[in-house]
Amino acid sequence: MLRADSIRLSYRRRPVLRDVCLRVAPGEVVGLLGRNGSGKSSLLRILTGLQRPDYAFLEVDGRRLRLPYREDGLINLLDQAGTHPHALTLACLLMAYGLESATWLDRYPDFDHPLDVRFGTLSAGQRRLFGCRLVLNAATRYTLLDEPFAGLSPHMIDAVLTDIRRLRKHKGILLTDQHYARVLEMADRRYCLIDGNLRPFKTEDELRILGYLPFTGDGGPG
Amino acid sequence: MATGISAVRVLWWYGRGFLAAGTLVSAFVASELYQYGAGPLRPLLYFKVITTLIFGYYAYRRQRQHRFFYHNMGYGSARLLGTAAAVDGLLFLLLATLGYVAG
Repeated sequence: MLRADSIRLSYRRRPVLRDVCLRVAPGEVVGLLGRNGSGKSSLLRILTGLQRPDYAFLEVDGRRLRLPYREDGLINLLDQAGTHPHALTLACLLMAYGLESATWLDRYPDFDHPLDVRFGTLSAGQRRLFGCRLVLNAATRYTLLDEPFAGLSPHMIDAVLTDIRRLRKHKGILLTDQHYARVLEMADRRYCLIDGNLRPFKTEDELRILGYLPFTGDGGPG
Repeated sequence: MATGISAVRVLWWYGRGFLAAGTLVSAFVASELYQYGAGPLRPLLYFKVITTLIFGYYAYRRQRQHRFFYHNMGYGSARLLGTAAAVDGLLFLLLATLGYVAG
């Protein structure tokens, strides 16, 4: 199990994450919601070692880790802001994630691009979908997806959701998204990041109470 | 996540522009040493150091949005840039020595 404890992060003395604790077990999907700028992306980057926090205690199966990304087959991340290098070919990217081209084409028969084209020649949505599928299919125990559905068409979103459903048995997945309904649907456990604290929730009504969703006209939840 | 991919290949993906530009500068320095001997060595060294810093900064900026990709393969960008700079430095030493000795 991946366990993070006491994660603290501040930007220019403004606290963003306050003693955040989180655990992700293989075989489960954990959903993470939060307003823009609440620190979701930072939390995911800290969990992989991409960003340095003020303090963080990270451990996997009881073993403390400082830079989880260096561990073989442990964790990977689809960053919200980042993209894969446009100059690399699709075949190179598959190789980078330890995936076989033939297996890929068998798994995604609808994928109609030759694998020798550069990643940058795909459209933005196709790049996002391809990147999503790369990190999901890579042989890691944990995959962190930072707003994977951003910029995807409904068909592509459905394709990613299908992949998550298929691969959730094999790995722990931490998923953030602004479309809370998808997180509610996919996640086994759900958290909302409010004022730097991680609050568990189960229903849409609880999201209103937490202040993530606006209240409806009658003033009550729902 | 390390995928068993060769470190040399990852280094090439990350730093090929940096290495190509650095090698061009090293070749220029070697040709100057070949023609004029060790006389202009100091300004040539300054030139190499300054261009390396500029190319390094450019490589860092260029790869910044791909950081997570290299992390996914188990390599931090500081480590990759440091290794690329070390390779560039070794190539520089080799070419400069060859240029000086041949001249």
